[in-house]
Amino acid sequence: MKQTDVVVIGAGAVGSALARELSKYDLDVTVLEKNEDLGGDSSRSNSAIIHTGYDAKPGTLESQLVVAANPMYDKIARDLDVPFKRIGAILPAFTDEQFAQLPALKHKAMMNRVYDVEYKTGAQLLEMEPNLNPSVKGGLYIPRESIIDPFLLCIGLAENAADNGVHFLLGTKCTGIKVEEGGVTAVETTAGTIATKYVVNAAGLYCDEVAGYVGKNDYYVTPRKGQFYILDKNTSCKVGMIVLPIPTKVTKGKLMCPTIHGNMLVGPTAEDMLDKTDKSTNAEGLASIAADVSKMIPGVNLRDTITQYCGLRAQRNPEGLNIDIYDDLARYVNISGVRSTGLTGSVAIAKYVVDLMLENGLRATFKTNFNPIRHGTPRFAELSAKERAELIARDPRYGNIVCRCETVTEGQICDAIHRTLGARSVDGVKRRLRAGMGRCQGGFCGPRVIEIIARELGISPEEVRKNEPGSEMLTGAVRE
Amino acid sequence: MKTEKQIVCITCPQGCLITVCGDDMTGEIDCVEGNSCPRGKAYAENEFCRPLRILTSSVKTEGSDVPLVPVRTRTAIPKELIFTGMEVIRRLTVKGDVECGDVIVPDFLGTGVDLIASGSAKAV
Amino acid sequence: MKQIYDVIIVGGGPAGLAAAVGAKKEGAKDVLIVERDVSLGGILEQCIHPGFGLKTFGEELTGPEYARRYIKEALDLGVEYKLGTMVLEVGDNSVTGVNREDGLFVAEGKSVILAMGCRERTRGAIATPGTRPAGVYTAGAAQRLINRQNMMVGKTAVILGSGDIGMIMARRLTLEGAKVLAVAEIMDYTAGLTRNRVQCLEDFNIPLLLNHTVVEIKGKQRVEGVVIAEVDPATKKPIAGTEKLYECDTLLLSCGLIPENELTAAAGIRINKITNGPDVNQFMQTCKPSVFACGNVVHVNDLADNVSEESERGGRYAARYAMGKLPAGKEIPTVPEGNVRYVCPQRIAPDFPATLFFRAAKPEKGAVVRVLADGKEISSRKLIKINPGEMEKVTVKPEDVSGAASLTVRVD
Repeated sequence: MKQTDVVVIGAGAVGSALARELSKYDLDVTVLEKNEDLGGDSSRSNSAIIHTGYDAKPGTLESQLVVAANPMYDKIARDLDVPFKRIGAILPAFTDEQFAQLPALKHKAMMNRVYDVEYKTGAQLLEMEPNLNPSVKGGLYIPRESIIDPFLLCIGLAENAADNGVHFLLGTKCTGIKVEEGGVTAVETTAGTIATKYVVNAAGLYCDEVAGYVGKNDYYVTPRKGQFYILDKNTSCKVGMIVLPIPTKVTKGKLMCPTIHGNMLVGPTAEDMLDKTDKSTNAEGLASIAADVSKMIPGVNLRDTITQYCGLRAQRNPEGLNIDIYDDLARYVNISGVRSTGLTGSVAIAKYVVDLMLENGLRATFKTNFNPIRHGTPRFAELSAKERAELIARDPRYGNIVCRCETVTEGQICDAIHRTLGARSVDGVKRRLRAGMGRCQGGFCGPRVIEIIARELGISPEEVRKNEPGSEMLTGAVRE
Repeated sequence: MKTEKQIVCITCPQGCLITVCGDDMTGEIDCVEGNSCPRGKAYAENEFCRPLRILTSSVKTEGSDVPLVPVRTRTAIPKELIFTGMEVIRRLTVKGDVECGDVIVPDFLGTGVDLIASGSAKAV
Repeated sequence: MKQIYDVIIVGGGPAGLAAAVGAKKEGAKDVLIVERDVSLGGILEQCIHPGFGLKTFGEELTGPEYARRYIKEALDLGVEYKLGTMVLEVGDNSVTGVNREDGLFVAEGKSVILAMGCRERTRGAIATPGTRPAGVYTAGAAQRLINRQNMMVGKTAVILGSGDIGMIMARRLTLEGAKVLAVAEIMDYTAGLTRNRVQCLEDFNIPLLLNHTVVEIKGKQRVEGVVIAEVDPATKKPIAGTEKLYECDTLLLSCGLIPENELTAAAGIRINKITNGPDVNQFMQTCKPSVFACGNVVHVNDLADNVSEESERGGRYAARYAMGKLPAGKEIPTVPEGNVRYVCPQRIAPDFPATLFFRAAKPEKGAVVRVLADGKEISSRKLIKINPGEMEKVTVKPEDVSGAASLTVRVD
């Protein structure tokens, strides 16, 4: 039987951040991920915003951790080579009713210790975002709201953890947890049983099911659907900051912001569901985005869309971020209620959990050889002419551009496949490099990417998948 | 049997609607109307009793720089032979160098029409 | 590689090849084609079906055969080319490219011809709701996989959109043993050519569902089905209650082509809102005098033959420009009216003959096409029928146009 010190269940943002935090200690750590690739479920389909926590419920653990996480991103993004930008957010009020809410929202920010939130007049906001509805009366400016590449954040955290010794078991689902004499002793998985001293449940959307294995499911999780539009980089109406609506009692509402790669992101909806695997978009949801966002940004042109997607937030019932340890169950940590702020919170949650474990008997020594730095795959599109030339001189495959829309080279695809926890699928390549994420959506590079993946992995093209088993791109050869 | 058929001409993009009357068993044609060129007339006459199509597909290569080489019947063959033709094409393999125009199967399906390469492959 | 070319052509498909031939024939000495694929020919290499060359060569050729005629002619004339090379930037007199051998390079040209062709509209662009499984392909991507890469895309397919590539792929899939359940078209007429409807769909009894569209894609990993609904012909909105599930593992999209003008726009060249291609005159000259454009990058053509004709002409004028023999002069706009969606070229030099290509906005029978100079009719012609899927043309003579401030093409 495989032996390990800590099993982390789930390789989303929280699981990956936790893996990296644990890799700073002399521990044998194993991360289980049911999906074939990193990034979990919720962590890879969201608004890609690094929040300040200005609007969290004051005094909660969520408030504490999200507010603490935001300032950590400058260093984390630099260390892990993850695209990240502090672009700021505005919260414009268009009606008297909305305008009247501003003082309460600002006060809430202060209660959350986000002291840099400022009032702005309508004229100031229009100057900051000329495409705002000119009827704007005033609003708030939240300077540290930021945007990030969510795939690369998860991948960067996990890859760096793996480079520092953490084992990742992808495509491996936790099917049970063994408890002996009041403490966890092993984790059962689809790839066999792993004996372990500690277990951390970071299963996000599925954390209630995992908690059920140890009888700690005194809550349940339902998915809350969020549908988004991604608009072309050269859409006629853009914004430079995150434009947030004034929240209502029902929802935080739909926003518009740039993505870290220069597209526009518009959404999300908020629809409570039951099926945790249903990531489908629907006409009603998409139509509601157009209706709502055009109130703030009248010129938003959703006909410039290049894709739409749906993410699932893990809605805990009863709600709230909970990180629990138990008197009657030793060496087990349960993380639940990680919702839309989870991508931001992940790095602080990781620190909090490790500290909690150390306080409660985890014996571990800080490693002297932890390497915090990850060198990502070169981003050819962002390089200078000189850097490009040098790269091609070193490896001519960087001279072969495979994805024309996002300027991704064969060299990058090969690097992304062969590096630690590398890409194994068409989506794996897409999420790491953006090949196929541009306006032609893989129409040009798709057939070529299939060929490269098959060649580099030494598999037949028919075995190349979009992502999970069953998502094979092809049904065979035309001529056997 | 004496009959009248409306035929959309496919020889060029214009897509003329041609009316042909005659006996579709004997192939005897009484009238052709609506065509705007002689090619259209010929097409409609054939289509009336014995539709013809050029069959295009591809055959597997062996020891070549490309996995497939495209093929075609040099001229049109009876439409009803298309799926039989595909059965034959599926079993073919060409080796090494293939030049555009090379005969792959002479007298394809006994039609008197050759199956030829419509692209090329280089031996590797 | 030379330091300075007379003409540099971006793209080695039907447009680029014909432009190169035209430029050489006109007397350009050094002509370079920059092509991103591993061979010349562009999209023609995967178009293994017949239907090419009737206009140009008077015989029915397949795409690769048609390409080979132009490739041979271009090479015989001494055209240089670079394969596997992506152009990153176009300047007034230069092209910046990248490939394995040369790395990053800048080639200078007295004139530059844009011949990048077009791309296909995607599922994302038409915002089809549902899941995002494997098995959704644009028709052209599927065509490349099947015809060039020996990779089969599916066993049971539905095709959304009745563009030519979609209908041709319906036949291709059927010949390869796949079942094509239906071609759904949101309009009440086929987007592609009539002959493709006949020989690709009707020959194989593939149902063509006009006024229908896909309203949902189903399947978590691989496509498991699509829901097709009838649309209201006026609003194009799906009619509730008409939804029907088609169980299939593949959805091909043939919903339109978009000129590939990222380089054009980045070069600061004016793009026409209707064609999505650069505004040109009859010399295929863009608003930058040294930059020409031809083929589907300018406007999506119905036939490769038309692309070749237009591009050979563009190549000739680009060569003249390079040799200092294309004088700049007064230009007047061409205006579409009535049942005319666009006219290309969008402006002409009135002292030279011009052929005006145009497309109808909707199908019409017994229509009359008229050309007016400052509102005064200079020619008229009766058409048996006119379809948006097919390009029409009229020619105008300098003597008819002289002195006019604008030229109108109208169909009623």
